[in-house]
Amino acid sequence: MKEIEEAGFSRTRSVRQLSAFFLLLVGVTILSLYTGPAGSELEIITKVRLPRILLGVIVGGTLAMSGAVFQGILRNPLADPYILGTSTGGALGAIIGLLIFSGSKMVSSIFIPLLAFAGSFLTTFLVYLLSRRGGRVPRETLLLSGVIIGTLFGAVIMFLMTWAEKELHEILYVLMGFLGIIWTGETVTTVVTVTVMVAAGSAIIYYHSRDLNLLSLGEEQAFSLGVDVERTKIILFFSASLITGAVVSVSGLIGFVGLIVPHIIRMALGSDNRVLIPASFLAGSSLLVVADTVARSVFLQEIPVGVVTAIFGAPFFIYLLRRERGPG
Amino acid sequence: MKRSSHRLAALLILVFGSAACSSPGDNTEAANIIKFTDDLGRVVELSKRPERIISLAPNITEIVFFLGSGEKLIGVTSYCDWPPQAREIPRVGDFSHPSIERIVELSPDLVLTTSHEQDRWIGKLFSLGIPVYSVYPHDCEALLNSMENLLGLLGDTPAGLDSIRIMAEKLAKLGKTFHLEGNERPGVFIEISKSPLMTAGSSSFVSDLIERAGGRNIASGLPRDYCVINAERVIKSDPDIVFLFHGLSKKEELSRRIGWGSIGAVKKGRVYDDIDPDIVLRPGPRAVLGIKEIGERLREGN
Repeated sequence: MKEIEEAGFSRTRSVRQLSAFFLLLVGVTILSLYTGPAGSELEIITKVRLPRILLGVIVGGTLAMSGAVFQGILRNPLADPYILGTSTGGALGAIIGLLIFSGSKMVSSIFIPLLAFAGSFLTTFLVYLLSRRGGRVPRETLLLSGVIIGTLFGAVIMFLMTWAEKELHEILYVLMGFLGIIWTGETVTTVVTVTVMVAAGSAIIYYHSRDLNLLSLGEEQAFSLGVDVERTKIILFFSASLITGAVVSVSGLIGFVGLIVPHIIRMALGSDNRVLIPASFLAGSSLLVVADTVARSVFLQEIPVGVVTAIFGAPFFIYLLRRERGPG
Repeated sequence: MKRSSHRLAALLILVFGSAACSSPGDNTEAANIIKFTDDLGRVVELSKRPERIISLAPNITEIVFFLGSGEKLIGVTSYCDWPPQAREIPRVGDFSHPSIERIVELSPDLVLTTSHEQDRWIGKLFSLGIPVYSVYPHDCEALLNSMENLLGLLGDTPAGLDSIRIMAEKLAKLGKTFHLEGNERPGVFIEISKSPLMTAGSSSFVSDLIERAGGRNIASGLPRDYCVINAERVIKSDPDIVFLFHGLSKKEELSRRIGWGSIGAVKKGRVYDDIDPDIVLRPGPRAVLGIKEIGERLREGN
């Protein structure tokens, strides 16, 4: 069993591949640090751009990584935190937090990410339960449940918006995806909380990446190879929802990163999750940093970064859908 | 019954009032059809002076009261909170989502709208046979004009004309008091919203108030009245004064924003959060007060 599993996995090669993606991220970050409407003053680079880029790294990486996890567990190339409703659930949690803790900033900086996580987890779980058909999760029912739950929670968000007055703009930008937060002590606390959640979730996910490889073969095969299928699935679901909810609470809904990136990585490096997962993180970070650089620099006014990713992501999604229908 | 008695009253006012009120000017009044051109350039035809008016914007509600026609308002939005009497008037929804059904139910003879945001309601109401007149001033000069035109439509009253004349005088006086030469004008950052960070471009009404109060809006060249902008633009343009025109931030918070400490306004403590945003953001009669409040703060410490 060990030999079968290890076949085709070379540690040195995967290290080389990951280093290449890491260098890509470093390059993109440096480029982004020196791109912006206000020139290259040190003050602006270190205090405004750098925090924003770091946020982009965490958010983009997380979305891409949870996309890879969802695609792996569900054995469905169209799964991603946005389409499955996970992000919308997280946004709903964050918006409820925003309305509840509107006054008290210190409390909200920790509780909003937690509420967003609760929203993400419950949504993913609900979508999973709804689409399960006798132990299997067919792609049609999964996508349909995701879209329906996403729409339902989107409607709840709209309903909450009719009650919000001061928070209306903020909610609107949660829905569109936005990294241009104003940094103060409170936002630093929030982002640190989010980063801790992401680090914990990523460690758990990476630890289970070998089991995820086996799960991708099919649940029966994975079971016969000694994987506790249900337990592994729950752990991975939990972790991917944790990190998705956490980042949604600061960035809002950014679509398509979680869908596109794992696909590109799979095309380039194959589908071994031990490489796919960290590589997706690095590539997702790079993609979102680039998209956000466009969002904050091209026009006099800022455009929500979710708009940029959607403009490039939607055509790619259509391409995937058409390819899916083709030979397979 | 109540409604028909209103109609009768309106008719009586029309019959006896229109002869006395007919004023020569650009607005023609022939064969009982009164024609008016609104701020969007649309020609609005009325068969009689409006007596049952619905206002779909808080600034318009203020203007109608200012012109002495507040009692003609039979419907306002949920944002219409000034003057205090406006709160007694039935609500027809909010600024961006007025209830057409509620409007029709109140059977107004005129609906007042503002801005291009509300354009989509114009056709809808028009197709239901309700005349719509848009009031959309983008600076103080245009506001005086809009008020004069609206007063003409409501029926010129001496009190209304006086109000406009006094406001024009006050504006001129404030302009003189606060006048500064171009290079003496302090740079001003207008914060409309913190999350996301929004400001008002030079085409906005509040920007005109800043200019009249002797300031210079640092966010010129923005494509729209209100825009989300990148914080680095604010830091780079180093405003001398910051006005927070929203309730969500206090001035103390600005010095805690990372990277904002190098801004002149923050260093010198010239951040102001104590002006009621409604008096500066609503293109209405309280703009005079707004200019005075802004101007006094611009002169502080000079």
